[in-house]
Amino acid sequence: MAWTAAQLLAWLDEVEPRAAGRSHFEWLELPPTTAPEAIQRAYHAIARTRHPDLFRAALRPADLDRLVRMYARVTGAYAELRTADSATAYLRRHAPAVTSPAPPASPTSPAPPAPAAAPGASAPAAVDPARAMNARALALYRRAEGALRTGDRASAILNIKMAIAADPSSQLLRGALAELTRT
Amino acid sequence: MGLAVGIDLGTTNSVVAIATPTGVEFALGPAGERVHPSVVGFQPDGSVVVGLDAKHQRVDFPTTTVYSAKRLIGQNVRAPLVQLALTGLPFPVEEGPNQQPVIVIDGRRVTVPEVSGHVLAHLKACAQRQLGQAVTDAVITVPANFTDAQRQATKEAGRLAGLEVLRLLNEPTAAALAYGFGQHKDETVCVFDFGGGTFDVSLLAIKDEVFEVLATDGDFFLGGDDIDRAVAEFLAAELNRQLRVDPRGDPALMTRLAIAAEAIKIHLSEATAAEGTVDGLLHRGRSLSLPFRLTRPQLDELIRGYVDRTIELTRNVLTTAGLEPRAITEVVCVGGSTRVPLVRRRLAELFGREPALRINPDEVVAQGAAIQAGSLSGALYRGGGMATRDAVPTAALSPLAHGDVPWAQAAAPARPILLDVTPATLRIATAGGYSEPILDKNLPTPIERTRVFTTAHDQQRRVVIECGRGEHKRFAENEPLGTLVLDDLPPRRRGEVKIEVTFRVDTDGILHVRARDADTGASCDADLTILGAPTRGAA
Repeated sequence: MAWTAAQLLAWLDEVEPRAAGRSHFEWLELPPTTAPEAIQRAYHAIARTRHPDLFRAALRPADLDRLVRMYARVTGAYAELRTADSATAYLRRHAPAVTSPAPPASPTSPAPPAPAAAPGASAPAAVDPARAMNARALALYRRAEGALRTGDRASAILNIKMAIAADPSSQLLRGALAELTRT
Repeated sequence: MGLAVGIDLGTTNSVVAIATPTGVEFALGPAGERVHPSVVGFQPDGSVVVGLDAKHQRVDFPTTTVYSAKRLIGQNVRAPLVQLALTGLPFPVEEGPNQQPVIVIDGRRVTVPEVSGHVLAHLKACAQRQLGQAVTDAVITVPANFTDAQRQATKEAGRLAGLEVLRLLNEPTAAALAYGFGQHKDETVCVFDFGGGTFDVSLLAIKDEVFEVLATDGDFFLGGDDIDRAVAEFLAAELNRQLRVDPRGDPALMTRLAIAAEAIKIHLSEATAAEGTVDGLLHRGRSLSLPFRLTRPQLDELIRGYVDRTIELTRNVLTTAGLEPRAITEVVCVGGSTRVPLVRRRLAELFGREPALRINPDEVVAQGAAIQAGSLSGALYRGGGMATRDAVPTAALSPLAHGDVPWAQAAAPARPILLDVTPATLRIATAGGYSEPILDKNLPTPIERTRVFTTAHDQQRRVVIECGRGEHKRFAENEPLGTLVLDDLPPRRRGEVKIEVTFRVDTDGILHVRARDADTGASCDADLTILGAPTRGAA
């Protein structure tokens, strides 16, 4: 489950320069939501793949230190979003500042309609996913497909959300999420 | 690298274990004991005995036999609670460098990490003898509410014993790990740890291999020793009533009564009444015998206050986590004091379910530490390691060996991920004797938070940042952690200098503090001096 050292270093290179400007939801790789279960699941998913303990042997001390600092940001975000109340308060405070990379996944807010051209993750893709998103998002998209095949809808949704965090510009991913959360 | 073991370094007893692909194996002492008394006996010739032998010499040499070192480790000797704890100890304790407690043995000063280092060295030797290989690394467990200084001092003890401390693991997390590792559970558990000297209660969410602490609380000065003392005081009162002898002020006599009290307490966990005679009470050259009778309801009455306190803290931690008692799917008992029937009854009343007893409460923490040691060292995932050959006698006794998942057949369980929380609010002193929190209690770790402060006077060139932990607004009511000094500030008007104070708690629960002058950009890093922490080579 843990990422490889190479994957991890790529992630550090990606998030470090933008660390100061990232919203709590971006750190958790999650669209804005106030559902504590979804927030905990997102935090656990990151812990499973990137917790510093997993890389004690695999990374040089300097890189491990980078990881601890970035991972502490994830934990800090989780600390402020853990309860429905704190997540709601955060959203209210930061509503204009949070650049929502995806439609809100809160169960109370309706999902926007899927773009006509974008197929759902459950249907065979008319558009080649490999062309519709970057490589990291694609890996997560494939994982979502795998989860759907085993009937694990929750994991599929989570992976699509993580894919959106990795590639906010992909229309295909947004459509897939809309389809998955609509039914 | 040699082997990595898990060590439950307890106030009263310690346990050492190793996890391998086949299960968990406990290292036995010279007499075949699985539980090693955390007692160090200093001999006139300068040598030391540790464990059962040291416990046995406690009656004959009360002033040179050191126990309950965990109550003193990393503590500031001037702290009121420490002074209180000292009054019950028969060996002399003085103030050493950096306000740390030092024990005086025949005129020689011994630091507390040295004492704990002797215990750890003994455990290491037991493991090496049994496993036939060098032990170099260890995961050592500590109470969740241990301070930074206590953690640093525990690490120092490990270093003195020649052990690389891979990780300091919080005891409740270790217990949850022993309970849930490799079981693919989705549960919310309450770990109720009532040990010899300390009480901890924690709530954890276990989801597959992720163990997330939701909230934790505890009392550093509440444990089985208090129950023993309550019974010993009952015996002392009986001695006074029946034989007109007041044993208080006589360490040897009180030690004798304390040992009898422990035996009576243990007996009353099984029986409803204890009746007998305490022999060999030496007083003014005479050997006295004290007949006694104590029933379980009487014992319950003697210890009710202590048990009430544990239940109150358990309710608090549920409130903190926003959980109802019925949301808890399992109550895990840790520590010998959970064998007291009153404790079990009160737990069952609170949660509406009987506590889990699948794993021996004396061994569950060491078992979790061993799993974490095996995981961090990778030994859990290297098939056919040493213990498959040598584990024969004890692997069969291992709780995991007859647990739900026999490791030898299952694929090695995924590496556990432990997500801990801060056990107390970490704060700094501000003007007027007040304080401001930097990191709140029960925040997930590792975590880093920065707050900006400013100067209180014009032309102030130096700020002194006092760090403490506790829940009080007035700084003095919190526990001091140490002081950080930032020098050479630019001469400005009051309030014009911005000082960023950053607190970072790492995965070991150790606090790193940094202060930075935000305006000049000059990073004036400084090290935190922790009161009560050992200084190398001192004492």
